[in-house]
Amino acid sequence: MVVITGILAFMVSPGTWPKTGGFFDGFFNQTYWPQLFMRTTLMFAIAGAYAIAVATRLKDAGTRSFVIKAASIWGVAGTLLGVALFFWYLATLPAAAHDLVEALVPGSLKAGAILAAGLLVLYFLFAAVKPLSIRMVPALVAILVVFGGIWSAERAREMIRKPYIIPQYMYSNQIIGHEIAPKGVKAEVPVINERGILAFSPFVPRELREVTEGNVRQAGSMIGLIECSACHAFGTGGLRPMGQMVRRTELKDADSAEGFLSALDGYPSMPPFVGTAEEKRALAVYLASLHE
Amino acid sequence: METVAMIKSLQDPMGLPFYPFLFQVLMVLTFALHILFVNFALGTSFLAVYGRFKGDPGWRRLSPGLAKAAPANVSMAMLLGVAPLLFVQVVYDPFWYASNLLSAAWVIGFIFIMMAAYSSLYVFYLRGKKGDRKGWVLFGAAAVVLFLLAGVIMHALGYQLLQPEKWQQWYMTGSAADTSGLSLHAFQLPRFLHFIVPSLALTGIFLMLYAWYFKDRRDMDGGHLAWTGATGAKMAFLFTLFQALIGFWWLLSLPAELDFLHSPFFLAGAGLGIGLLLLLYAAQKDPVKYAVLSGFGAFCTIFAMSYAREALRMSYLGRFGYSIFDYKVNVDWPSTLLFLGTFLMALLIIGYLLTVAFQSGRAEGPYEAGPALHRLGKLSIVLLLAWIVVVAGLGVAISLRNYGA
Repeated sequence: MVVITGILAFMVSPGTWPKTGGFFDGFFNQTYWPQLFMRTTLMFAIAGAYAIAVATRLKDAGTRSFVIKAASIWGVAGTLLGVALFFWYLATLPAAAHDLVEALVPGSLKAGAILAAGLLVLYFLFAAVKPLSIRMVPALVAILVVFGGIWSAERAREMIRKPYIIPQYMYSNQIIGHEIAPKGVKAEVPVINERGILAFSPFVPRELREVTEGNVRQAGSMIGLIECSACHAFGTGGLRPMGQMVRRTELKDADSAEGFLSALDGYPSMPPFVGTAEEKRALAVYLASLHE
Repeated sequence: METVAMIKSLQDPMGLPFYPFLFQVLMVLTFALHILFVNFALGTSFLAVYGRFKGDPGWRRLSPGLAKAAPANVSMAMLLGVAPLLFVQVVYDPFWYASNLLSAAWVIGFIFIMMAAYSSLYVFYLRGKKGDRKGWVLFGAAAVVLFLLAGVIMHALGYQLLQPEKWQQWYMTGSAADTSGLSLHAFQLPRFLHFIVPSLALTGIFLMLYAWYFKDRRDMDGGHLAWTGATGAKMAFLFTLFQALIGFWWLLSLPAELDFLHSPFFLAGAGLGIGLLLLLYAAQKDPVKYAVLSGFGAFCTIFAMSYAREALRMSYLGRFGYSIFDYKVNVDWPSTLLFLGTFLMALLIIGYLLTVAFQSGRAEGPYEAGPALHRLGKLSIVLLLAWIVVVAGLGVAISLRNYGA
């Protein structure tokens, strides 16, 4: 718990690491302690739910009642403390992450987490009062509720990392957005804007290194693969497919698509477009072609 | 983009947090441990199934024991597989990353294949305990086939990695990119077999060790133990011999420019392999007496061979001017010390747990640990608590410095 919390904390907020490059500065950032205590208390709640499920198989009623009662007290205390600590955690999140919680995290995920916590408190309270009435199937359903809550909260945590893999450093498409001076790492964005993403990236075949009249759409597709496919599926299925997104944002022609790409500079959840003006045009042509 | 420049651009611009030598040694060491248990897992699963089919009473009797050992070997193989997987990503990130993307569907499929194999193996073991219905043997056989498939995937990933000059042709058809990741692009039979055939040799040694481990337990059948040890010794010798032949086949199929025959790493590995073969020949007379020495010799051979495999990788990639020793280094003492400190502490604690398991299995009836072992147990707990106090204390100090009033 002590170790994994540091890694998870760093993924949302690197603390002073971008300035100092210090390992522990990133590890013990301002979201570390609330998250450590929150995860630890919720761990007891999860263990409580499991212990009750196991205890329903006990033959002796006295033992069963004792175990379920004890487990449910851990469960209710863990859940309530975890919820309280969650608000502390929320308060320590960086401003950008806060904006994303408001703008991006869908109501269903918020509802999932709140509902799971509420249901579990009621379940544990009921189990504490009437331990022998809990049977195996409801106990297993309670574990499913636990998973629903974990899924909602962790999914939301992943969403508020956008548009970065490592905030203040590397975008989700692995392009380095900002320098990390103490490690001698320079930002890639200015270089790519000057030289072009097609010339900069590995795996680009020779005939697509430069945008020409004959290869605009293909070059655009290659740029899309490099800059967008980390989050957007290229086919019709999969996660956030490109074609579907293009239709939803109504990028009917290359001009509107290009306008959209330029606007990414100030977009909270997607990295900016990087590359030359011709490359931006090529990607716009490709995107518009997906509208049909 | 030229292959050399392409590889450079795929490296982590932040560099390594410590000198590459440390990562290389740990990668090879943990790989050697991993492949040892991969071989035990494959060998014990295969022989458990084989034992069920074979009418021979010795094998029929051994089969349930092997079926019980197999899932434990699989979990050890998986556990020990994580470390070399992470180390290879540290020093060979451009190659491992590209190779994985080229066959992405298989990389993800690997997880499900392992889950299916592991579950079938458990069904085979648990059902086999209940009765002797032949149908359940199919689950064991399915597990063996799936493990082999998992081996094929890992082999392909490791072999694609060595051929960056071909990546682009595997990935592009004209100017259209194939992003499906549905193909495995490279397979070299002798190389693959060289990782698989030792399963039977090493499981032979596993059986010798089994006979040695239980030799003083009077509640076990001495005749059956002696048979197990002798069968293991025979298997170990024959398949080590077979393995040596496959090794030469592989050696001959390597690109001549690598000149691997004269690599000191190869010579050390091959020398130890021949030594092991002689040792196993001598062990035929008294498998129990030679069991521990054979096990030790086998591990030394595997370690040397794992280093030879790494040296081979270095010469393959040296063709593109790549050397892990040229990797940019940004020494980060805090994370390195945390890692090494935790690693050493874990060795001691795991050592305690293994000693308890080792002694309790040998004891007849209830087992009571001696006073020295009790002290080691207490020390393990104290160390764990001290670790938390030190790390949390560090965290408090750093938080106060960075965010304190």
